[in-house]
Amino acid sequence: MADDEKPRVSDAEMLARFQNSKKRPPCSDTLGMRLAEVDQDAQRIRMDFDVSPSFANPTGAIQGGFISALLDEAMSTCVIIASNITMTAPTLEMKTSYLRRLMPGKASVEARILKLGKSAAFMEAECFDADCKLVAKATATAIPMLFKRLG
Amino acid sequence: MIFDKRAFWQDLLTNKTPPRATAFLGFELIAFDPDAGWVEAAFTLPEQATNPGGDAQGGFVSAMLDEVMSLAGSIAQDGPAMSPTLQMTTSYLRPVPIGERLLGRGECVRRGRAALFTRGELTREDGTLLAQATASCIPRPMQY
Repeated sequence: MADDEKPRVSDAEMLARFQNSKKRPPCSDTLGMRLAEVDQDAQRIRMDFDVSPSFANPTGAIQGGFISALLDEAMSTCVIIASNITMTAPTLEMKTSYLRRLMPGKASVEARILKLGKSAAFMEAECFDADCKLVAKATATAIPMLFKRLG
Repeated sequence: MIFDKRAFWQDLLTNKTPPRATAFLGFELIAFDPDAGWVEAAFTLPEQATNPGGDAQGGFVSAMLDEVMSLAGSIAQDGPAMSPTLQMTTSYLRPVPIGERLLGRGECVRRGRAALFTRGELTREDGTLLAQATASCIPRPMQY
């Protein structure tokens, strides 16, 4: 496994690496994303978001697709961390259940790996509003790819 | 007065200031049929939707599909209405480019009293299928 070739770092170090990264993709900034918690043994992460009113639908709540964007952001990062930053995993399919409205502002997502195999990865994530109420839940599948084979 | 569904939606989708999420996605109405329950629109994603691979992050792809699918579910109802999404599944067939004009189509495939079922497709202008989705929603009349 690739994990054996690359020395593991502590959860705190992994967290710091992401929080201090200067190579953040534009989507992470757009969503106001901040990695808040890493648990490598449990293959679980938590992300905080500051969701812009730019993503509001006619009712003033966040349009569902953008809630999926928060969930996708967390699940994709979860694969990268679970692979010890050796792999990324383009999403094949994602299913989101929308339980209640999310208003612009604070939100958080907890994502975990269900299985990280050689040819497929299975993830799930839950999105909570500022009052810690469950807003949406998603499951997704992805294909793990080595970083260097991308592009 | 008889509610003119076509005129209502034509006015709402072309003359009114779009909701902010709609504007972010570069939405531009192409055509719609309130009786058959379908909507076609063009989208152009801004640079802010870019993932580490240089393409669109998946959630923004779902957002474009959600726009046309929710609209299809809304216009398929009798009066002014919305169709809040309960559940949506998106399949990402190919990387979705940023800054390119894309075509979205949403259809209402079943109009029930308590539930609506929709599906959607996102293609490049040359017809290449980039993503597809299905969703279930609730019909919800709206006051205007």
